[in-house]
Amino acid sequence: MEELKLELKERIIDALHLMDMVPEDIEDDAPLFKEGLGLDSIDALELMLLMEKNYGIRLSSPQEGRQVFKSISTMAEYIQAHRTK
Amino acid sequence: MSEERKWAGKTHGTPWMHKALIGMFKVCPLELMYLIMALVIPFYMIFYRPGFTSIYHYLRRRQGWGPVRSFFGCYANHFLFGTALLDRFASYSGRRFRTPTHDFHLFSGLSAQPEGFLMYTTHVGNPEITGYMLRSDAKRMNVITFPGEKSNIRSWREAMLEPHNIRLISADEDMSWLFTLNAALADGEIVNIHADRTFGSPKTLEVNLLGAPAHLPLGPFSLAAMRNLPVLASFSLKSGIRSYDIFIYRLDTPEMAEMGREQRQQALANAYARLLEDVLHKHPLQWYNFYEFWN
Repeated sequence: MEELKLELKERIIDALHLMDMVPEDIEDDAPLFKEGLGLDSIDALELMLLMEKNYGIRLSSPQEGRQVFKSISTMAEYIQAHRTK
Repeated sequence: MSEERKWAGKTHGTPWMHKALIGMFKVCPLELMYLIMALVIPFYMIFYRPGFTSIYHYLRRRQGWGPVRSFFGCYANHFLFGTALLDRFASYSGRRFRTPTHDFHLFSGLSAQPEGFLMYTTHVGNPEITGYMLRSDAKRMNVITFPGEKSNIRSWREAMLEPHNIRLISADEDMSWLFTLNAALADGEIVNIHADRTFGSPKTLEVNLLGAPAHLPLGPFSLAAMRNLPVLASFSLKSGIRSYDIFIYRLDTPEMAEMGREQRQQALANAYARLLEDVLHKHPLQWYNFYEFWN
């Protein structure tokens, strides 16, 4: 799980062009949106694409999606349980 | 983008006013409604100065018109905008407009393909009219709407558009709409989105529009680039009391597909700006962004 979280942080930094950030700057349980990392709607779409391309997971339910995208930890847990790649 | 430059995205009037307007259209000729509106416009120009001044600046600085021509141009612009609003309610009451469509094959061709595509609309002319005419039985069109729209207006729009295989998706604060949008594109559907106003993300792309830098919302172009989607742009321009001409254009090119993501989204934004410029040169008075659009 720790390896997956690190991989996820690296992919997010790359996909969202978070310049001057390293994985250690992102806390596992910090909110991804509004506070914490402060991501926005365009970033959310990038994360959905990241889940599809790298893990074969398509998020279409808003209720489920909001839970998954709460933090790095919630994303990693969901990926581990549902990945097809 | 500063708070002043973002549009609040709210519809005006109360539900009973809207109902009364629809009721009047069932008995009154369109020309009479236009005449009443023409008398009201000067008061609106006086009491809603930001709208008047933004259009005056647009005509003077961007279209190069003289001061007198720009002043009367503001009246004409407000009048045309008023007709667009009245035509909207006329449509809710059951009236229909003649809508010759140019290059419809671009829309029908992409509708026949399995992948989804984007359609950009602009606050030029009457984008809502496009929705009634650009129908695809093969693909549902998902129209992203501002969350500030009054619920009764939304209900009428949904009732009108649902038989045309069109779904409205409200861009609410909780971002649930993003998952619906993502699913729609993954299912090969069409997403219709405004390409000239920000909502959701404040990020923008700079383009040159009518000789000055302008900021377009990053979202529509980023969405197209990240999924390498085909992109159409459509404009519905008032051409007569009961007619609109609908124009459809293809924005993406084979060369753009070979570009990196950031280069591709900028190329799309530049292509959109060139197209918008051409449309505004031909129809300068149908520009309906009533705020200081340029830096």
